[in-house]
Amino acid sequence: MPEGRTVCVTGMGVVSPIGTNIGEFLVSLQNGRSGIRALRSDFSQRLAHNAFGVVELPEQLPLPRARLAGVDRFSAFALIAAHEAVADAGLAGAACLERAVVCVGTGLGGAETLQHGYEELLLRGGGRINPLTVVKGMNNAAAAHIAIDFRCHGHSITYSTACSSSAIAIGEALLALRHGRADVAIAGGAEALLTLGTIAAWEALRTLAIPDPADPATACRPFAADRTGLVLAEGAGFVLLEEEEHARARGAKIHARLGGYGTSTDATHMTKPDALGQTAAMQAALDDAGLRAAQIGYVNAHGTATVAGDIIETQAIKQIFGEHAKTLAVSSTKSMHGHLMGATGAVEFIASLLAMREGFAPPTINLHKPDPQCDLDYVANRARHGLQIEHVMSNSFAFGGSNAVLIASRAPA
Amino acid sequence: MSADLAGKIQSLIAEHFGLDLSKLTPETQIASLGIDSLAMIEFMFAVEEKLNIRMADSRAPLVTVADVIAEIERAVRGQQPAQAA
Repeated sequence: MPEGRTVCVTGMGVVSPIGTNIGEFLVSLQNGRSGIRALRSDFSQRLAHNAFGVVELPEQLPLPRARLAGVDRFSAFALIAAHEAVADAGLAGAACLERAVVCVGTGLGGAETLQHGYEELLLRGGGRINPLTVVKGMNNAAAAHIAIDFRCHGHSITYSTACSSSAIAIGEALLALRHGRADVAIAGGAEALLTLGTIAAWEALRTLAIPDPADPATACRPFAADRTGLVLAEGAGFVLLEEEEHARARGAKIHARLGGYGTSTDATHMTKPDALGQTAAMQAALDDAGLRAAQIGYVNAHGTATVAGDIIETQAIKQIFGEHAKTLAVSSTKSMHGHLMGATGAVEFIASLLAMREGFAPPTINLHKPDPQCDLDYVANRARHGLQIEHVMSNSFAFGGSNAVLIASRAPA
Repeated sequence: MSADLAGKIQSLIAEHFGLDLSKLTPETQIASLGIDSLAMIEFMFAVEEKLNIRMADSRAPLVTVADVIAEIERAVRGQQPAQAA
């Protein structure tokens, strides 16, 4: 068990390809809805394959639309999700946010701003570039904007560890609160990297899914024999973390306790994941939470649908869970929302909290042809309802080998 | 000519910032629209691109919509040859 104070989750907010608020996101998870589709843009015809998790922002936002002027798309997603989380926690305008810390994960930050900037400079000549390129494009922009909106004077830090960025942001916020650096944290991540440059770079790495052009919604197939790779996506997820006595004193609604944060680094290869690194992170999270593996009721897998990655994660889960692995519900919600990169850890952590709160396991959709090397219970195609889940685990295993695992538990009434 | 340009600029402001055009008047204060100085810099850059004009680098603070229209008109007139009234 760790030293330090108990921390809980009092607010959640999400912007994703399967819902631009928590309510919509939950309904999509419960119904196995895919948000993967063809991207309609001025560069679509240049793409080898077209299946992405795209966000359609609704007309109604939890903040004035004018606030999003001069802000990169990744910061806009972060602001929308953070505003929802703060409102959910009942903390809008609260004095205690003054000392809050802001912890944001992102892989590429202001990718769209940089893309436009280079296009202006290199393709149009004239040496002109948008004067806001720096403040929009910098990776710490989202954290700065959140701190400005809620007047948070505690530290604001941006974590960049590829696919585990926002899981690490949430974990580091947990440590900050345990050790008394603040009583409240706004933590999560944002990513908006569906630009020509970024997509072309990923295509060159030959790790993106090859969709059926007639049915892009089925492109992401974690653990399936016919999986072909990952599907890039965009969005944001934020949680309000709060020291538990502070939350109870103000009568806050507590979604869950955040009790476990485990990290490790593979230190073996830039892209090929390592089972030893993954088991170390999962075990560290269990030790931190003071739990046995058999107590976990649902695991939200990293499950990117790469050929190698899904096998290695399956092996790692079997190592940690032993006999319990045979009946454990494990699913990859990336099958529905895609890989949100720097934002995916936070969005999947939120999916895990919703699973525990509502008593269901979200499905791994598009799983019609099982792979003999991936033989766990992945909750194929349909959500499983009516479950009693006391503890959940969410895995994030990144390129570069930075692994992060979060464990949340049902809070006592 | 000038009234057309004023109307066009108000439309650009409404579109760029996602505002209700019917609520914009020349007297409207920019700050009251939730638009800060950085967002205004970017808007003026977008207008320069759209109308193919260049505005002076240093300029007086733009407090109202009328100030923005006047600043843009100055640059547009600067681009046009002298005309009979």
